[in-house]
Formats: sequence, C-alpha cells, structure tokens
Amino acid sequence: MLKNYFKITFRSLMKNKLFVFINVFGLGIALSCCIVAYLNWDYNISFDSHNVNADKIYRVNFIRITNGRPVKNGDCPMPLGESIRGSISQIDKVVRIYPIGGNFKVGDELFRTSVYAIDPDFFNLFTFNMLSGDKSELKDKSKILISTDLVEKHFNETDPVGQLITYINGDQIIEYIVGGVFEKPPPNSSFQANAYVHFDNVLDIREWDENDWSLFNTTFITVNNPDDIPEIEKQLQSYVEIQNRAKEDYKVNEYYLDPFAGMAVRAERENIWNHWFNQSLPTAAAVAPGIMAILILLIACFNFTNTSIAIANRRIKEIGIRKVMGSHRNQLIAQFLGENILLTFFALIVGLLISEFLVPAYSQMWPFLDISLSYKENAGLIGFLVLLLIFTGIIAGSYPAFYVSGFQPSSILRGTLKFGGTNKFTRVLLTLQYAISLIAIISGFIFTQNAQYQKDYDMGFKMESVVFAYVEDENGYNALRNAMSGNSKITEMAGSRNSATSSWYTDPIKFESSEMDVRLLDIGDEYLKTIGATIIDGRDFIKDSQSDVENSVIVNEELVHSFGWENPIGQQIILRDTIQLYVAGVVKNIFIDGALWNPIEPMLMRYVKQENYRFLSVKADVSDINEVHDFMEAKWKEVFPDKLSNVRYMEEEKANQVLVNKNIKVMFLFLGIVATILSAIGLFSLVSLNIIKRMKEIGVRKVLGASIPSIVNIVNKEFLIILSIASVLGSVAGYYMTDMLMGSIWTYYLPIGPLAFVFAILIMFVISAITVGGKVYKAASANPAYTLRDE
Amino acid sequence: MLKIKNLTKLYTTDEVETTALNEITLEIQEGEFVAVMGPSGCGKSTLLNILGLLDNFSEGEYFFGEHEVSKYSERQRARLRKGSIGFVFQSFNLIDELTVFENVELPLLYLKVPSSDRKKRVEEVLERMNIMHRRNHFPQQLSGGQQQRVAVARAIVAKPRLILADEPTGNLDSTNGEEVMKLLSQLNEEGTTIVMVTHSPYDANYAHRIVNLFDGKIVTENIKEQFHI
Repeated sequence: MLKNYFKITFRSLMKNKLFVFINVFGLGIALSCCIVAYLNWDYNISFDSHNVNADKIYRVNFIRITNGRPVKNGDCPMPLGESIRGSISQIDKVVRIYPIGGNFKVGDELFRTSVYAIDPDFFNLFTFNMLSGDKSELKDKSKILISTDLVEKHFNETDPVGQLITYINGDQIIEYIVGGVFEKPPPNSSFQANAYVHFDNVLDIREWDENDWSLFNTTFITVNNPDDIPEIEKQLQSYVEIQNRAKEDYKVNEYYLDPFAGMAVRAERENIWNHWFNQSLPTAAAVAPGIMAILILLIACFNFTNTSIAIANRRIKEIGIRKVMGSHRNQLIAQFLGENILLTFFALIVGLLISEFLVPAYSQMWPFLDISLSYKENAGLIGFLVLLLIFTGIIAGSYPAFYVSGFQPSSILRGTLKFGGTNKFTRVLLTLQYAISLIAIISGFIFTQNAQYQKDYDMGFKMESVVFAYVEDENGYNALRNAMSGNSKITEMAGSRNSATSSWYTDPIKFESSEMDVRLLDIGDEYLKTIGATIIDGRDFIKDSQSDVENSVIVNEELVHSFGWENPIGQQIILRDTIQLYVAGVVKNIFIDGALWNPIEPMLMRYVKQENYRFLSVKADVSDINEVHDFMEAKWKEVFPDKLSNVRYMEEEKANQVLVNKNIKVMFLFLGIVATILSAIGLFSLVSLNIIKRMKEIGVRKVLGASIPSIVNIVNKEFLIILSIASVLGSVAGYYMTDMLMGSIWTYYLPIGPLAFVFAILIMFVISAITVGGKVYKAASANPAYTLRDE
Repeated sequence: MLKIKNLTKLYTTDEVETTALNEITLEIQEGEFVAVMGPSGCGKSTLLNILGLLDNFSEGEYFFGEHEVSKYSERQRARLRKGSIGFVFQSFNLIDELTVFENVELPLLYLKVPSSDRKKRVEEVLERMNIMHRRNHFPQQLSGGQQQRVAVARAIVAKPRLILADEPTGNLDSTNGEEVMKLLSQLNEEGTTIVMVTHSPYDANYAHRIVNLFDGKIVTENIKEQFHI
C-alpha cells in the first residue's frame, strides 16, 4: 500500500509542478530562516555552557539604590572575597577577578591585549583547554597564561612556554614568564581575555591595598549544594555594614548571588552595572531572527495550506474511488498528511541548501557571532530539523488532509461536488498571510526610517569631528599637543582627565534631601567646545579659574530634570557627601555611548587643572578628520616612539550602534521582501486555481454579453476585499509590533508616522496587481467557445 | 441478500427539502440480476449509492444479508464495502495517476492481500477482461470500452458478492456497451448478484427483473425470468 501511495504522490506532484515548486521553494526559504533563528538562539542560550562547573558557580553581586531605583552591580568590594573565604562554610572556592588591559611586548613587537588578574582557582572553576604548560603555574605571580590567539599572532605559533612577555604600563615594566597556553574559548563565552596573571599583580600595579573596602572587583564562588544559597546570601548581608562604614557615600543595600549559568544573557537584558565580561547578543540580534522566522514560516505554511486545498480538486476522484474501495478516512488523512510531510521534507532540503548561504551571511553580519551549519558538532540542530519537519508538515498539511478526506464519495462520484480555488478557510488564510506580509513591509519601512533617525539624532556632541588619545600624564599631554600645534586643519584642542566616550566615573551627589549617582567627567577648558557640546544655560569653565576647579560644575539637562530645577544656575549640590559645588552651566544632553539604547543618565562635569590631564582631544572638520587622525598618529610616533599608539576616532564608540542599526534594517528589509514574494506567489497560485474553477462561469458570462473589464472586476473583487481587510489588520498589528520591537531595543526611537503604512499598502496592492493582472486578463479575454467546450 | 423496507431519502438545503426516495421497499435475492430504470432524477443513482453504503438514508431499514446496516459506522461500512461490493460507474472513475494494473490492484491492497497473490489475481482478471496487454498503460491512454473493462476488472477482482453498476454502458458505443453487458451477464451466471441502473431498455433486458422508479417510488417491477441461486 505504501508503494501505491508513493507512486500516486509522485505522479500527482509531477502533474502540479508549478504549485509544488511554489510550495517547496516558499517553505524552503521559511525553513532556512528558522534554521538561522535556531542557530542564533542556540548560540545565545549556550553562552558559557562549555563550563562543566557552570551550575555550581555564582557571582557575588550587590544592589544599590541609585536615583530611587535598585541597580544591580556585577562587582563587590575587594576585601569581601578574602573575608568570605573560609568564614562561610557552605562556600567551596572563591575567585577574584580584575581586568587590567595593557600594552605588552614580545621581542620588539608592541601590542595591546586584554588581561585578567585572577586567583589561581579560576582555572579550576572555569573550563579551559590547556594546550601546553600547566594551569597551576598561575600560583606563581611572575607567570602568565596566554591564549592561542596570542601564540598565533606573536609567537609564530611555536610553543611559548618559558618565554618572556613584557607588560608595560606607563613607566611600569613587568616581565612575565609564559606558564601555559590555553585554547581561546568560543565566542559565546564570558571570558575573552587573551592572558591571565595572578591577582596580586593588580595590587602591585595599581598599588592597592586588598583590604580597602572602597575598591571593587568581581568575585565568583562555588557552592556544591544549591539549597545553601539562601543561607549564604543571608550571611553575606553581615558585610553590608563594614562596606558602608568604609565608603559612606557609596552604600551597598544588599548582596546577592547571581548564577553563572545565564549570567551573560541577564547582563544584556537587565542592564547590570560593572559587568566586565562578554555579554550575550544584543536584544536586536537575539530577537529579530526569531520573529522573522516565525512570520515567514506562517506565511509559507498558509501558502502551502491554501495551495494544497486548491489543487486537491484534481485529486478528488481518487479520494472518492479510494473510499468506494473501502479506504477509511484515517487512511486518507494519513496518506495526504504523509504527502504534505514529504513535500515539507523536500522543502527542508531546499531550506538546508539555502542555509548554506544564509547562515554564514547572517553570522558575518555580527562580529560577535559565530554560527555555522555544522551537523556533526550540533546534535541539537538535527533534533530541531526533525521537529521542524514534523511541526511544519502538520501545521501546513493537516487541514488539507482532514478537509479532503471528509468528502462523501457519492457526491464526488455523482460529480455534484466541486471545490478548489477559494473557500472561507482559504480566504481567511490568504487574509492573514497578506496581513503578516504587510507587517513585514511596514517593519522594513519603519526600521529603515529609524536607522536614519538614529543616524541623524542629535547626540549632544560632534563625535564624528573628534580624535583623541590617552597620553598618560601632563608631560605626555604637553608633548603631543605641542607636536600637533600648527596644523591648520585642527580647529580646537583640549585636555581632560576623562574622555566623554571612554573614561568616566560614577559618584553620588546630593541636592537637599535627594540623592543620586551621576556620571562624572573631569575636563579642562575648551573640552566641551572641542567635542562639540552645547551650553544651553549659564557658562563654560573659565580658563585657569581656581574657583571653578574648587566649586563649579556643569551639569546636563537630565540632571536638571531629575532634581526638578527651574533655575539650575547657582544651585548647590554635595558630591561624595563632602564637596560643595555650584552649578555654573547646563550642557545639552550628551549620549556618551553614541547610541539611543539606554536612557540618558544625569551627568556632571568638573574642571581640572592641566596637571591632571590624561587625554588630548582634537577637533577638525568632518571632511578633514581622517587627515588629522593620520597626522596625530604620525606625531604620536615621533613623540612616543616606544609606545603603542592610543589615537582613536571618537566615533569608534558609535560603531556598534551603527552596526546594529544597519543590520536591523537589512534584516527587516529581507523580511519584507521575502514576505512580499511569498504572498505574491501565494496569491498567484490561488487566483490561478480560482480562475480554472470559474472558467465555465466566465464563459457563460461572456456569452451573455459581459465585457472584459466587468469580468476582471468580478474575478478581482474577492481578492480586493481580502487585500483591504489584510491592510487594516496588517497596519494595526504592524504598528504595535514595530513599536514594541523598537521599544525593546531603543529608549529613543522614531515616532511612527502614517507614511510607512501608506507606502506598504501601496506596494502590496501594486505587486498583487502585477502578479495576477496578466492571469486574470487572459482568462477574461479567452474565447468562451473553447472554455465552454472544455467544460 | 439485500432487503430494504420503507426506505426514504431526503435532501435538505437551506430552504428546500427534496424527497429522492419515498418509502421504497425492495428485496434482492442472492444471484439475482436487477435493473433499475426510470427517468432522470427519479432516484435511481441515490438508491444504488444507498445499496452500496456510499450514502445514508433518512428513514427505513436496510438489511445487507442478515445485518441491518443503517446504524453502521463509517468504518463498518468501509469494511463491508471492500469485502462484498464491487462498483462499476458510467464515467469509469479510474484513477488517472495509476496504471491499469495498479487501478485493478487497488481493492486488493485495501483487503491486505499478499503481494504474490495480488499479482496473480490481477493478471487473471485482466486476462479475463482481455486487457492484459494494456496493463502498464494509464487510463487516458485507453479507449472508453477498454476503460470500462478495466473498471469491471477492478470491481470483480476482490470477488464481491454484489456488483453495483451505475449506467455502465452510458459512455460507450454500442459494440463496447454490448461487450460490457455480456461480461456482467456472465458474472451473474457465475453467481454474482448484480444491481444495475440504466436508461437503456436493451441493457435492462439482460436483467432478471426490472424495477421502475418514478419520483422516488417503485412504480412497477417486471420479473423476466427465474434465476439460479
């Protein structure tokens, strides 16, 4: 019997090649999008999953009330780690971590890389594959463990164990001996540092006292019994007071344990402060592929169902005969469902072929993503494909199977049963399909508009006109500034202790009874002018004014808003519970990360003397900025021949935002185009089959005197109604969906206007008209003598 | 073999109720050849569909052998159909996607007849219908007469006790029509009960008994000759 089913399936598929192609190809595209979405989801959800002890590891976090709301912090006071080691019996191991970036030298080669100072148990907690040397070498603070990345780049891929590597931090020079090489963890790992040294190194380099409760680092612990967590958290609270006494202006509210499993994902979603490790995918990259896949899969399934029902008309005699011969309904359902699952299987093969291109293309879009279509290494993918096959086959194929198997054989064989083309169900599906397509087109339009909106948004400063460099101290500042002077392309130069986009700090301030944490920048004169910030009230700092150094601050609009000041100039605030400052000026809000993802934070700028300068910032016209950057690089080499260049474009900070905006736009345009194509071919197949069914009616109408336009109108009327209903549904759903999506990605985004909806509806109607126009006209102008004779 | 009592079939649409069969009582003996005649729309095909368990009736009783089948589920009806009834249609109703051999084989597949036995039986019946040389052809490659011979082959391959034929010569020329009627007659002589709907008095002459329907009622019954049980 199975052989008989296969034969008839194959032969009837061959008779409907066009519709089979439409179904298989459409579903194939949808399935390939699902494969990309799965791999993307799997990548994100598998963050840190290679760590065998992941379930036992917790990070000691704390919550601090900032600006009236609880803020989670991913670090804790430095002495806490040593305090709880041994004193809380339920804790097994304690590991402290502190990132110390720096410049290194191997032979004559100078390079910059990421380094963590860690307690030696780090390599016992977290899973690293040691390729040479031994992880226990890190007990010796003169040893360093390095990644395969460093070996490839700087050791000519020879085994570097025992070789020297020099750490350079200003005047500090430390020689480390390579104690081992570890395989660089996968990109979806929290720890991406290329080198690790003993924790004591950070105390030496920074000249810190490890018992100083005002210092913070990340601390991980292991707990063998998860039931002990509440007790450990309870005992941790006893350290709140010690810390708060030591740093009264920065009080901890409570400590809590953050499970390492899922830490990277939570860090991205919950905006955890002082999370120093690799985070999971940005919301846009994590969410968008899934939404796209679901929408496209729905459209393709609706297409599939509609076409299957429509072409079942050609199988109706077979259904009748099989029933007469004694087939049960269940057998027919199984037969037709099996056929649809077989078609889905073909679609899956097409989908896998498309995925061979789509997966690497998507992976390349995001520098922090590394997914590939690897069946051997990803057993979950095989499981997903099987589930996807069954799910899609049943979703797309079950209704046609149940529908056609329910016909009475007597009606079929008497010839009184006629179906095909459209019915209520297929009309509903087509409406939904078009509504979803409209959502996709609207999203494409709005995300494109939003990308432009994000690009044009006034970030409060002209980051694209600025290059800057970390010059370490006043001497470095003076040396580089003097070397730079005389270049006519440079319009402004300024020094600062911090840099707007890369080096700010957070401290608490008070105004009357209100208290909040603010971001602080210590800047020199002309700094605001150099970065293109705008003073909207009051004044800038006065050059060399001692009074400004001691008493004046410039605040941003958000801080004025937060304190509810009507007249901010002259208002008194208290910094760190001790320093009285008066507002001298208000600067327009500066989005220091160059992006609109997070809410603007209150910000405060203090004036510092030249002896505190650590950065030199230079402004030039946008058209000259590359030339000035190169000039600064050249001067750096002259002034600091032994130091790695620190010259950077300020706009570099914006790169991630630009990338996300661009990729979201690309993804939703792709979604819009694919959805439109799928819906158009779905409409084409339904109209074609509807016309076949109505050829007799068209013939009779023509014989009775109907004109071609009137027949075109009759055939199109049904589809025009469907498109109109879909326009309303799609517009409403599109509005809410894009608003929700944009809201989940950005704090500030494009206000949705009517233009996108008008254009999207117009596009949908025009494409539909082009798709079916020819077919309808041909049917309307056919000679009725032939159509009626055929009937 | 078949007994129906006061059988009524109503077709109901939104506004109109049509009586297709009106309190019909009829008994058909094992081995009988009955022709059902009457004008278009009198209920002939409806009666045949009900006898073949393809259609339900509204009132009355229907005994297939000893069994009253009006309460039978779809599954029971399908089981009875595939084991005991063969159908021959005016428009042949062969499946276009299957070859002659595969079309004839179909009832045996539903009866789960083993493959070797199936092949033997299909070949036997194709030989008998003189259509063996066309076994690998598709229906659309055959003439009308040949298609109907295939349809008869399909109807008898499972050796049913009853053959229901709905105007089996309606789409055939006289030569092919004659040939099909001879086949049916021969099958009847071999013991198969046949109920045939026809417009043709000539074809009806092959039957032992002619039942005339008019407006859903049996108006006359002509017994032509005795038959062997």
